[in-house]
Amino acid sequence: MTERTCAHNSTTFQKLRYYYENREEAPRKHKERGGLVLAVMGCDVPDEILLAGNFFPLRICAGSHIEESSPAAYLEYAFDPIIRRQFTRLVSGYYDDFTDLLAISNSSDVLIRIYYYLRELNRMGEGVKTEPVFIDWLFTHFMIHEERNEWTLHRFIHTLEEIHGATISEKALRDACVIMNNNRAVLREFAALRTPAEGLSRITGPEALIVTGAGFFMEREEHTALVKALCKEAADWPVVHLPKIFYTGSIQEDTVLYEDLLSAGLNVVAEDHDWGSRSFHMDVDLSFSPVPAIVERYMLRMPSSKKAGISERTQALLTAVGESCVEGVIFYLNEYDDAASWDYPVQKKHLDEKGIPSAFFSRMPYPYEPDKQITQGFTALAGMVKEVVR
Amino acid sequence: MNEQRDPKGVRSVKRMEAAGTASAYQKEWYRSLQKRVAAGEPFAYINADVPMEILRAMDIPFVVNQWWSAICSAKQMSASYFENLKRNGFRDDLCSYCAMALAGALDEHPENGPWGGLPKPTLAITRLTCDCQGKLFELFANQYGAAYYPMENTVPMIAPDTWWEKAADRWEELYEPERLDYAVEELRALIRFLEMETGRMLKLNQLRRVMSLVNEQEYWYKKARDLIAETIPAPVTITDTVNAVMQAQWQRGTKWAAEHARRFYLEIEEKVKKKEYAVPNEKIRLMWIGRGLWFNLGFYQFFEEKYGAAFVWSMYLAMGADAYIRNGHEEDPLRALAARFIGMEDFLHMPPWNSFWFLHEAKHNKIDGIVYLVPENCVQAVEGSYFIQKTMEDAGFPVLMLRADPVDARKWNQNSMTIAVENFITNRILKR
Repeated sequence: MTERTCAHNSTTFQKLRYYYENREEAPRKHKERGGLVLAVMGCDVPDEILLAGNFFPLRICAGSHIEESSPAAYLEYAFDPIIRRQFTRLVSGYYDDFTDLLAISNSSDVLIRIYYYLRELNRMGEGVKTEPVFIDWLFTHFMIHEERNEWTLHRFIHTLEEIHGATISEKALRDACVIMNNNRAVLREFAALRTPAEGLSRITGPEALIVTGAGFFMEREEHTALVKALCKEAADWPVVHLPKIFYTGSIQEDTVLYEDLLSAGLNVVAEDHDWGSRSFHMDVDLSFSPVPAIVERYMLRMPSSKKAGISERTQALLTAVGESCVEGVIFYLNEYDDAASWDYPVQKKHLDEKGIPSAFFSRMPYPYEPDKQITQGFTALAGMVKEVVR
Repeated sequence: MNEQRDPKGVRSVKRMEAAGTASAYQKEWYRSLQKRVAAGEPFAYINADVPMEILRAMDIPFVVNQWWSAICSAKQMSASYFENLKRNGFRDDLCSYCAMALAGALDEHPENGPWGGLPKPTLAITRLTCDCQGKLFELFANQYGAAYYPMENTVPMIAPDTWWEKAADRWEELYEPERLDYAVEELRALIRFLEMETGRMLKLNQLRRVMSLVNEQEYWYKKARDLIAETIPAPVTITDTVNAVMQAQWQRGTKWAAEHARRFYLEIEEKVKKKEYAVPNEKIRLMWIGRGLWFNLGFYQFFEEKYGAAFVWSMYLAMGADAYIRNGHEEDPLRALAARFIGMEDFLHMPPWNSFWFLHEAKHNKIDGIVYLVPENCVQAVEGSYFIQKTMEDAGFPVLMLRADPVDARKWNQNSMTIAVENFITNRILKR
């Protein structure tokens, strides 16, 4: 990636970039200092609870740049390729020497399968070193589901307490919620530089992914301080002379796709995946007790492509598109990450009615492999967006 | 008894009267359903794992998604229906088993569908057992202007041994008590929704009656499954049983279905007494794991004459036998029903619940080899195929895994699939 001079010269940005690229360094250090590291699969394991329990939450990564060590013989082919790689690395023992526990949330259907499979592998003596802990959220917006989610989180907390023999107090939970709320607040402040109501963005899509993603691999309070500092610096960064677009679809654990979009003339300034805007959408409302407040945040934040219905997703997209003042939308789905395909025709219809151009890419290879057809598709979208802007 | 050939699929030769009577009943029932809907009654379109016993007890007519999908597929309509998806901006390569009804709903001439097409539903109910299920039902409901209702699904944290021995009488032991409590709450919410939407009350005694009739029906399936398992050569094959069982299964909780199951068993028993065997030269007993090839049931019969290979087992009869009966339901029918419907996903799609059951059934049915259909475009059918295959192979049962689609005939290659099974029989079973 050709880095912009402003980002290259910013020590703050470079520090964030360091953690984004060296994803194991902070958790390894935390472990060396006698701390506990909890590996996470799925985007709905609340960091608030892990921080309250003095765990370092570490996101398991697919590691697209790393050659897959062995074929994931345990998994069927109809499996989200990112989850497939995450599972393969996990089972290969890659994380064993610096993680203590594994928590999985049912953020997608294949993650439920992963939980079953890991449990079964453990029973057979072929699995990961610890029994995975599972969080079984219910995402439908009915009161009985909220009620059960509160029970589920209490059970999760109780399980963590049992495993490590230490109580997670309400005060610790509240303190952790404050840490995470502060973190989300600065990320939203930074996001505002991406999405000015008028004019162009000061941040590129890849830069934003780095700033947001670094938080998953470093101490949160340090991340908050760095992003806060960067907000001041970046307010004076030069604008990016490209149309602003919204990205909806498969998660992006690295910057390569956003870089190619940038090269094609499109700057992603907001997204609905968990390595971007969705991760800092909505705070925990601390006027309530921590557990019910955490439940509300994870149930009601920007809906995920996997767990929400068509109308909810469509409304969320239109809201996000309006709030981020974008000029176009890209739908991008990896092969076997298909659920959002059902949302697309309805969403497109509404975008068309608003005169917002969009393009749909499905069954995309993972790791991302640019080819002529994909590049032409990006360029075509850029052309449509420029036409509308003109 | 004639055989009709199709470019993609082959219709089966019918050997059981029960299959014919079930089909005839379904047609008659469907006509009456159309009349009831035309007269303004509510009509629900539901997914297979929705606790239909509630609707039965409330006398709300309903059609089951997977049954309708199988009917559309058997009528060779899948190709044109999936074209409808494409024409309307949807992908046509996803969720074929569950998207058929939506595809049909998009047809310009829905009345040309099977048996005059699907009447206009007023309710669409599903369980959120995969990431796409809710989306499909919401789209379907919107297409018809029906009220959409999703039921949540929970994940078991325990995996009890030998569920099939406990399901009928010790069903409380299969689930964490809280999970069962919650499932009852979910049922209560569904009932409230239906009562408000239809103005009909769920009468608990009526539900008890329905539950008793289901138990009676499944009792006969258990006897039938056991009889087939223990009779060599087998009196019937899955081609004979799947339609007879599944059509009646969608009518479960009715007197007709219980009586049909009894006659179904008696017909098989009669064949055993008369030594009428489905494949008189039976040399190989095969197990079919996965969804039935609804557009091509004749495929199973192809191997009978040439190899003496009989497909004697599929989940359709065996699930009826082992998974549905809930004795002692009278005291708390909602809890017993909850213990039925939440288990289906566990039993079928979660190792080791599924793999150990398949192994038990393979031994019970004296199976020589297993053909296992793994659909390409369905995450719901992602069920631990590695664990199933390993469990079976480790126990000495050879397994052939076929990548295929149970309803989308466009993706089926009769020649290559036939060769795959022939090679399996020749190289893995006969050479043992």
